[in-house]
Amino acid sequence: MPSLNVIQLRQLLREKFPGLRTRADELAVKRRDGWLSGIAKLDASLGGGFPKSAINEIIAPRRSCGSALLLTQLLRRAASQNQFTALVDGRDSFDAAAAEQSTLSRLFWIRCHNGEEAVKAADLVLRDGNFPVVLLDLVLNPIAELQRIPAPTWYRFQRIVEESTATFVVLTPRAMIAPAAVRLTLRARFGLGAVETDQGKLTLELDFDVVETGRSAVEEPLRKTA
Amino acid sequence: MFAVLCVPNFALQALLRHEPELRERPLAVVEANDSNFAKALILECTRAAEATGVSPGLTAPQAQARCCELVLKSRSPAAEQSATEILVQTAYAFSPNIENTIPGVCTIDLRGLSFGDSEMPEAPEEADNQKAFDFFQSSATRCLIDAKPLTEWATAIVTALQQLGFESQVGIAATPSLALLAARADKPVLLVERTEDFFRSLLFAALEPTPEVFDIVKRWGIHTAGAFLALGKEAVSERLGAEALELFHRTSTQTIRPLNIVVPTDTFEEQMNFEAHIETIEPLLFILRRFVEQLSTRITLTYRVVGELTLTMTLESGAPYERKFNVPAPTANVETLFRMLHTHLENLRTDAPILSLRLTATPVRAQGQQFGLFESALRDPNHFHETLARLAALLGTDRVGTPIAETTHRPDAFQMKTPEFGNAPPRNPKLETRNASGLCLRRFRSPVHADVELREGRPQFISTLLISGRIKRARGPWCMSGTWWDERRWSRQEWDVETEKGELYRLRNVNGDWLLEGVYD
Repeated sequence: MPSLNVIQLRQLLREKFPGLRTRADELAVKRRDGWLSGIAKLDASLGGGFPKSAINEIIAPRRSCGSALLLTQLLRRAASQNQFTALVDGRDSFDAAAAEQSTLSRLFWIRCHNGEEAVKAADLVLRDGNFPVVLLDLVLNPIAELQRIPAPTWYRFQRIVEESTATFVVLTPRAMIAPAAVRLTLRARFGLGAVETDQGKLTLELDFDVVETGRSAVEEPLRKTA
Repeated sequence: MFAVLCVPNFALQALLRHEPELRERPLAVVEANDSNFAKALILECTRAAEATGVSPGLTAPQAQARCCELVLKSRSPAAEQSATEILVQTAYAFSPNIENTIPGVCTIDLRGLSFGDSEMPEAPEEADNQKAFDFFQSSATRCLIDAKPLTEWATAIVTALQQLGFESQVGIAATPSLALLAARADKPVLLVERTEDFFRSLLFAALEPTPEVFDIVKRWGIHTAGAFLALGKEAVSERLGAEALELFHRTSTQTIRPLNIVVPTDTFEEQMNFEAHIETIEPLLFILRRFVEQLSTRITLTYRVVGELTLTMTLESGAPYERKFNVPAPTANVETLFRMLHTHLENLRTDAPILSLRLTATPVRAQGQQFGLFESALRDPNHFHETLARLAALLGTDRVGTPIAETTHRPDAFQMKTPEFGNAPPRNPKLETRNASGLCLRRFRSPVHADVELREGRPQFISTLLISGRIKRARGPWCMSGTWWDERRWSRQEWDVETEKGELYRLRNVNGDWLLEGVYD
């Protein structure tokens, strides 16, 4: 039971700063603005696309789970909306032949050789504020290299993104971004036949878990899509 | 009517334009060809120097004897030339009919200009000077000319020059010579409405007589120009000779000399030679910021913006350094222009100290752009190009940009181009005819060497630094070749393999050497 002083203080703060949250259970109801990926299943799971002004983490825990396919689909989607995309390629692994020239013409590709370069480049691109979609691909970077990225870096990125309307998506080999608003883990397993299958069909086969973290580091999955 | 724009102590002001903090210190300009000031005469000095007893005409040692803290600087013809250009360009922003009279003085013809609700009336033909003067002096004309907007117009010129680092004075009168006398009066703006009143208060010394004539007239007890003119032209010329006639001519209200109309150059340049060589970036940026501020203000006065900047530096080694900066979205914003220079200079290393610095701005018309409903463009192209420069400095120019696919079947063939997002046309989905297939490849851009065991010509086991294990399934070989007609010929054999862990890789076989080219993901 809060003391009278605390109640009075809350009352005072409410009068002074309308809209201020003074109790932990008073969760601010905020309508989230999302960027649709164009993949119906994914957008439905995310409840209206990737949240803007927040960090979205896509985890590719194993190879050949479709992370490059998803990345290319996101590039195509942005280009189809006449949006420019910045791709910070942490290991210079993006295959330009995978996308059409019309998609490439809207792509700003930053080819890094290691995680340190990628983080510096991402920092510059996010501060630039010109790109509505920013993708940071760290899937092929060694875990040891990614562990050297200081945790406050991600909070700094969160602060920068908060001030913009950009959609910031980070692809990682394992969960490592504590302030991520959404964490999506790819679960698909593709066989050798997928090398020649139509990408439209492959996209439908993408399998993932979505966790809306609400910026907390560890939470149970809200939805699971099989 | 005419206005004269006068910058007093022009040589001094031209020199201190980029060092305004020195204005409050005792400082004098001397006429000296080198740094030997022993016999040099003081030309002009600051108020702080005057307060200590220093005055023009003293020799440098005499001046230094009166003020031990006196800073002596040589006259700089380059600085004066640059200041003259600024003066003319500023005057041109206020009237198309201007004359570069003498260094530090600019005469402006006010005919045809609008002031407030009224327009400056057209005077009769110049040949009939008396008529013209009478026209301006007539009460009817004075009613047409409203003093307030005219004074405001002149104050705007003074303010504009103040932004460029000059203290100036403006005189407005019926003739150019009268306007010059008014401009030299110690007031920022002086409008001569009644000539008699003006001469009555004007000191005789302002007519700049020779010392002999000045002494004689002074002994007569005459101290003002009005009293001198009242003596009568013929009576005075009988006693003082031809020089007195010249003095009467200067104050004549019957002569309007034709102006030698000039058009200012379209050069916007700032330059500085350093007394102490510059070796670090901080002083360089300090000076460059002032240059950018000056150039931006000058170009804004012409209703244009900066389209290109050219930075030129002379090094002690004698080697010149020049760099052009194309402004993607032409602007006069000081911060934007300065950031472009700053970004470049923080990554620049020269092999010798810097002796001089020059910054040239190319003016262009401001671009008005309205975006289409379905078009997209960068919000701030200048900021993007600054980011691009920073990324290029961090990673190298070949690792930042937009990929352009080459017209070849050779895998991973593309070129990196500087992004031109401002010119990207809206995408037409109907033109997309390509049906993409297959998982996308993540390339190992330095392919990994692999040891591959074959059975019946097909890969069975793989061992690399990244992966090792049995190959569950393999598809291939896919044989490719191209450009066989010249030295760029290529050929390869590719295999798609699936490991026991369910990972998909692309293998390449070139003359028996196996390479892991990428992972399908």
